[in-house]
Amino acid sequence: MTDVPRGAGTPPPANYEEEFTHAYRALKPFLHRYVLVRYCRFQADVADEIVSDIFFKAWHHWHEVRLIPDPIPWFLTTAKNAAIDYWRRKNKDIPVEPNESDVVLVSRAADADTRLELLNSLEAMGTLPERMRDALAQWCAGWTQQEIAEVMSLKETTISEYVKKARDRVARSVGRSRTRKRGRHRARQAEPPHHRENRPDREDQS
Amino acid sequence: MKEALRCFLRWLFLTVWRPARIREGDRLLRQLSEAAHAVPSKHDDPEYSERFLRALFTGTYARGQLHGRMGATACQGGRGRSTVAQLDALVEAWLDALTIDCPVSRGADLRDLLRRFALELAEQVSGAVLDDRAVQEIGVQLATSLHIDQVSFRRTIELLTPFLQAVTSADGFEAGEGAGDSVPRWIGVLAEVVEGYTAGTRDRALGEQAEIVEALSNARAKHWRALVDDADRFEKLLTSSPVAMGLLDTSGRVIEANEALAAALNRPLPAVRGTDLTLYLGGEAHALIAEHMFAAILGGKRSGSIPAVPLAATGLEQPKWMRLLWAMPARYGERIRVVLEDVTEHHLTQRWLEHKATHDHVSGLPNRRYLEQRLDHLLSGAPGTGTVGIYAIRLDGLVGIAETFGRIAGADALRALTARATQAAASTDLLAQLDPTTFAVVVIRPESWVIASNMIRRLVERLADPLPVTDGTAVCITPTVGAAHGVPGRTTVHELMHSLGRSLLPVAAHDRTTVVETTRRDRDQERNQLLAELPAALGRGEVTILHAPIARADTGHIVGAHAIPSWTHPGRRTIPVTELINLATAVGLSAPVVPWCLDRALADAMAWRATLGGLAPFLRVDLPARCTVDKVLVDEIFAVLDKHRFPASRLQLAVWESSIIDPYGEPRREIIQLTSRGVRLYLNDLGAGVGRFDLLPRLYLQGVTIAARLTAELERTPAQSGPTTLKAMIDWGTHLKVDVDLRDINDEYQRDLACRYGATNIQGHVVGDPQTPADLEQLINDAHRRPCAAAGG
Repeated sequence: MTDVPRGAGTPPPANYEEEFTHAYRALKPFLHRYVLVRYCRFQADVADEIVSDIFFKAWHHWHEVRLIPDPIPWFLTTAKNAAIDYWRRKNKDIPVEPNESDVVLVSRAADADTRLELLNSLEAMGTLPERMRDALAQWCAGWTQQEIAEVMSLKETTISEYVKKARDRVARSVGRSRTRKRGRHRARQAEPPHHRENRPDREDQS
Repeated sequence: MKEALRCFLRWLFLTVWRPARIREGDRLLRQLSEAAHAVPSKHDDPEYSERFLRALFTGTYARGQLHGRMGATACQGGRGRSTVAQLDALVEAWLDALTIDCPVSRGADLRDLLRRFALELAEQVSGAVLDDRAVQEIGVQLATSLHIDQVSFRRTIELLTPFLQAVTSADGFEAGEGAGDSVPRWIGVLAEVVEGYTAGTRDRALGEQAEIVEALSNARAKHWRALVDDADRFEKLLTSSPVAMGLLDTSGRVIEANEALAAALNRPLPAVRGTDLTLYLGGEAHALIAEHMFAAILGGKRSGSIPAVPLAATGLEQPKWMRLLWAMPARYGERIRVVLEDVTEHHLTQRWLEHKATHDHVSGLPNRRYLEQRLDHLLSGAPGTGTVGIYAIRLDGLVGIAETFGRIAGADALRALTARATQAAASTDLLAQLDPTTFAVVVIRPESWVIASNMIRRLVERLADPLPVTDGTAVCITPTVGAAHGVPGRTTVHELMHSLGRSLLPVAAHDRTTVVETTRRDRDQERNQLLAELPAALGRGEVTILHAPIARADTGHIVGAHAIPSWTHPGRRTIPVTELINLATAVGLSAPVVPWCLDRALADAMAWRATLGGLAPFLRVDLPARCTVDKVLVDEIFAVLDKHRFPASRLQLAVWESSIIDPYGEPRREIIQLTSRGVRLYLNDLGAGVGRFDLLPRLYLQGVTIAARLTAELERTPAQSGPTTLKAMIDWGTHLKVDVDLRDINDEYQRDLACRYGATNIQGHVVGDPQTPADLEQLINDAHRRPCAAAGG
């Protein structure tokens, strides 16, 4: 007998597990990519753990979630909470800045230049406002602007503006002065974190 | 105007600069998106998904249990955790493992150190090339800096194994899936850690032994110091003490001594009294020691000691080392109290330990520690004292010997290679062993720098020679050379060694051992034996000259004879000795091979001139490769020509490029002497062994011989491109207006092609095989009669 979480004392329908399985299979790739970009800086194992956590919560609240016409916002909110929980357990904030471990352990498949650009792009993403970052992460996870607008309950023009501004900012941070960023990135690796945090970013000021 | 400029700039911003920037942003974000799509998820695995869902549905995937399990299995497998999380957990668990039993202080420094170690290991597992030295250094530091014991080290390995496995899996390199690696990288990394720990443990043990020996010695020194300082006790024990004691005046003369002192000096007691004690101490340096001792006393120092001085007493079976302690209290006036303690055993033990600590235990060469101390001394010198160079020769394949034939064979092989290296690098300033498979050669002096490249080349050649391992088996190792240099005052030892290590990294080490084929070994053995027999064979007349006919390519008439020495060895088949003669010349065998061949060949040619008259062929003789056309050779050739009164214009010398071009790339002057006398020069191997085409017009050549391997292009089924190289070479010779000869023309088809392409002379099977002078004479006669008969018929 399966341990089905009961909700409101109503017996589960016959296709209770099938529904969940269907939702799990449909959403897991998107959620993995979203969490990967948005909350764990491409640490695949962390993303896996957070995704497992999301579906764990989803299963325990499935009697409610299954009734929501569009459950995606619920999953995104849960993803955010699961990520915060995860990093809180590690006594850390959600990582924004690249750290030494990322550089050493994450994303070895790419060549050095691509990897550096990737890290710089992630760093630039970290400087974006919260909603803009959400929109961009979903865009990177493979959704169209229309889908993002539906999920975030915003106008498509707003999302379009978000994405455009985000592209602009990322390009300004990374693309325009890629070479200089590389030098600064290396220099930052050698500096203590507090120094890095206290130093004003000249480029951002401009 | 200003408004127009503003509008233009705005237009420029909106149409050119901003879109370009957004395109760049698009590219970066697309890259980010692609990277996100490329990262694999465990949930993509159908099996994992099924298990996950089943665990959810059955309630076994409870959240609390999940995190509890993860916490408990911090580093035992670590599946489901990020590599960063595993790194943190590893460091904490490692910290626990080290601080339970070992006297290691748990603190931020240790945590940082372990984290650095873990990151270094992870990087080595994931990197392109394994820097084994860096990994071994971690093991060494675990043993020497942290002093961890065997139990802690076992726990360390137990912790590192799943962590490195996880890092390997995260990078997409599962076991056995590396580029051609049969063993996963993490196993190699762990093996290097263990090796480093073993070496570090040995160093630590030797260091601890040295400390114990030193502590014992100090304790004894303290005991005797107390005795010397206590005048009353010294007086009481002076006669009865088993340790050599005595009283001296300020000039070092013995006033009073005990039996032990007399025994130590190997002289009777009365003879000791009144003699200068310093004469027995320090050998040749006794004056220095006396000066040191009495300067200290006269300088106001009332007591002192010299840790170890050699005893120069006559009649001693073994050299003795003594510790000298003295004191001069005021109560005894000018008398000095002296104790001589025998520290021979301590001294020898100390030297033995020092040697063990600074030399490799298998090869006996100075080890890395000694090398670094020496380099540190050299590099800390004044700037401008001379560049310090270091070459590292890594012996790829040495590990394979131990794995294939056993550790004893591996150690024997290393000793044999060490002997070779010591011999080949005798002129170097220091030969050391960096690690079990790497030698290091240090170059310091200017005269060493002059010969450095030759020495390294010789060393590499010697090390690459086949190495007998067991009966009937020999192996070849592959030396790989790295190099680095440092400037005193500007380079540190660490930088120099790091640079040296990096210079070896681009070439990945391979541990495959090349086993030499027995047939090749036998062939080499046979060749070398024949070379040793060659001088005697020349004397016995076993070497004879055969002649290969040379014919015109267009008419087919035999016009020349190519002298080919051949050795009819007793008990063996006839051996062509051209290669053997080349080898004899290369190794500098002093047998007069060239004059002998010329003499025999000219004798045959003179006989043909007598019998064939105008039909007599010209004579071509090969000079051995690496045989230089110098004055001595020219004189020998002229002497043989004069002896037989043979016309020089009928002699063709087939030479090699290196024979007639000097080391500076200029034609040798001796070829003018030869050609002015009338001797014709033929250049061998055009198209393969000739590189200075620009010099060909200045070499006074009669002709060139195309390389045999190009003649092979004249096949019946030519390649699609045809014999283009051969054709080009023949055209080149025609352009220079010299004869062009082709060898190994074996059938009519090839002869026709050679004729069509413009070759002058040909030789090979179609013309005739090498034969005796009589047979060649017969052949020429037959060839001459045949056209006549045909004309008569």
